Amino acid sequence: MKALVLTLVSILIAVAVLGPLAIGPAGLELNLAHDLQSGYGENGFDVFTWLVYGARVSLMIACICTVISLSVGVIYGAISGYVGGLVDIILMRFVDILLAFPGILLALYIAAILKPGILNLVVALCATGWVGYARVARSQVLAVKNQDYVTAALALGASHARILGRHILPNIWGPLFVQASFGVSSLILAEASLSFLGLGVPPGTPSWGALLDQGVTYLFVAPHLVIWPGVCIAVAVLSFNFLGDWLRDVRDPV
Amino acid sequence: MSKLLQVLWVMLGATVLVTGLLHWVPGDPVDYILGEQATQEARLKLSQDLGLVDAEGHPVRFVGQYVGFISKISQNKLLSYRTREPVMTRIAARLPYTMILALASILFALALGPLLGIIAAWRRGEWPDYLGRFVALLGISLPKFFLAPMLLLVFSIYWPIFPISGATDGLMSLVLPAFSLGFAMAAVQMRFTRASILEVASQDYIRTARAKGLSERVVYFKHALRNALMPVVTVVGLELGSLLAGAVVVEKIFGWPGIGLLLLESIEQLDMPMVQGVVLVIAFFYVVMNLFTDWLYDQIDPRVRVT
Repeated sequence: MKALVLTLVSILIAVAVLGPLAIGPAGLELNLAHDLQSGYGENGFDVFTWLVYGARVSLMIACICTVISLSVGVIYGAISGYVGGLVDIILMRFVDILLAFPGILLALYIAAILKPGILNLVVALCATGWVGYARVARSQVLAVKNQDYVTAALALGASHARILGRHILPNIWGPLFVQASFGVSSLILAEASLSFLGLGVPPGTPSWGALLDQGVTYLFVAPHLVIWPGVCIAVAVLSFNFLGDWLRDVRDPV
Repeated sequence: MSKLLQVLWVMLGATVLVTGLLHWVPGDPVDYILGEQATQEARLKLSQDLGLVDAEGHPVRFVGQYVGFISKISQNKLLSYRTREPVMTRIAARLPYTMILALASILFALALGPLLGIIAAWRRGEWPDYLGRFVALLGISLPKFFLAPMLLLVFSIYWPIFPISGATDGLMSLVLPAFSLGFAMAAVQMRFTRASILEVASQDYIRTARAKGLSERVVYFKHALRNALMPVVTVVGLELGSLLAGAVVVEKIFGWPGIGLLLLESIEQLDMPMVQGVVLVIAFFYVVMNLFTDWLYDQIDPRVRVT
């Protein structure tokens, strides 16, 4: 399991980081002679080059959004759980509202009212992505905040900020990291979905989801435009899910 | 009762969020819809339509906009920006398609998932178990927008059994969309059922049943299964969100004329009132369905009510 997980994830990261440097952007140029030929896309860009650049876009967006969502979610959830009382109730009732929108619906709505662009896509994904982390962080803080070492720190006169930052946070990172690796896979999927629906990356940006959108249009003549990006997305999603499973087993062996 | 209050609160919040996002988003929605070269009259007209300014052209505060939106949508006077038709009338016409699709997917998942889970647990560690778990892994990791075109390639293009697009061929046009949408839920059902049977199988009352000399079949199907199938309801609740969001994708691929496709068409035409209407209707159904699955779970498992 460990070898499989680490191999898959390192291959993905290597392709995303080094791939574009290795093969260069020449294949992204349009060449009408190759329009929809085997191995080429609409107006003749090279599918392999597109997929390699797509890995970079996909992983970059997923990682940036995970870092932002994780930070926002942890701060929000930790404050909610630590302060408790009325503050907790108010903060969590707000989270309930965000949970009224199934799946990527709210991100889809935000992406629809913002202009298409990578920055706006990140905003749309983060606006909904932090909620899960906030809930986990809150429940973790609730579980540890009455432990003796917290009481001891309080008795020593530590400030609340210090207790949260130095005593509580280091003890709740574990489950959050596990969740973050599942988060990367769901963000890869969310980015691909939005790009597939035409609400993700701007037109012309190499993205797996955007290529699949073309593939559905040309399903009769160029099925390879569906198959290869689909395989890429499935492998990427599966790899980060495996990573999450493995991290969970390492932390909590049964 | 407190559950009902919570639903009311969540819907209030959802409407504020949906109208508020359009209000607070940087940039002028009027510019975005009409482009920057539009005439002053067209801009004023659209601003009034969107409820951004009043009849005299003064900007309306958010509270006023919100009240205007709610009163219009509740009297079915919220008009589509493109067709001038009441938003809710249009949504009501397309909603049955999405409901049929979602229902068919759930029924498909309920028919397939628990069955595979039962077989896998019954033949644990043998080939049916490995096959079932592999299928479940596929179901969880294959995105809907990959699975659906693959099904189209095989069953509509290579073997032309099912229609490629639309909802005009009755049950035949429902098969592939429902399969694409329900497969992931079936996979999760399979995993939960399998795990839950294996967990139940090691409990005392099963040992007691065996000790009484009951046949394996009776122990398995009468004693174990009954308790092991509880999570089936939970999974429907858990997976409902991705099902509803996935419906948008599946409707796009199969040209299925539900509200997901309506949402995408309206986004493309920058028909904001329609977009807001569809988003709120989907959220409303999601919240109500969650309430329903909670209630159902209460009914099935008496222990939930006690705690």
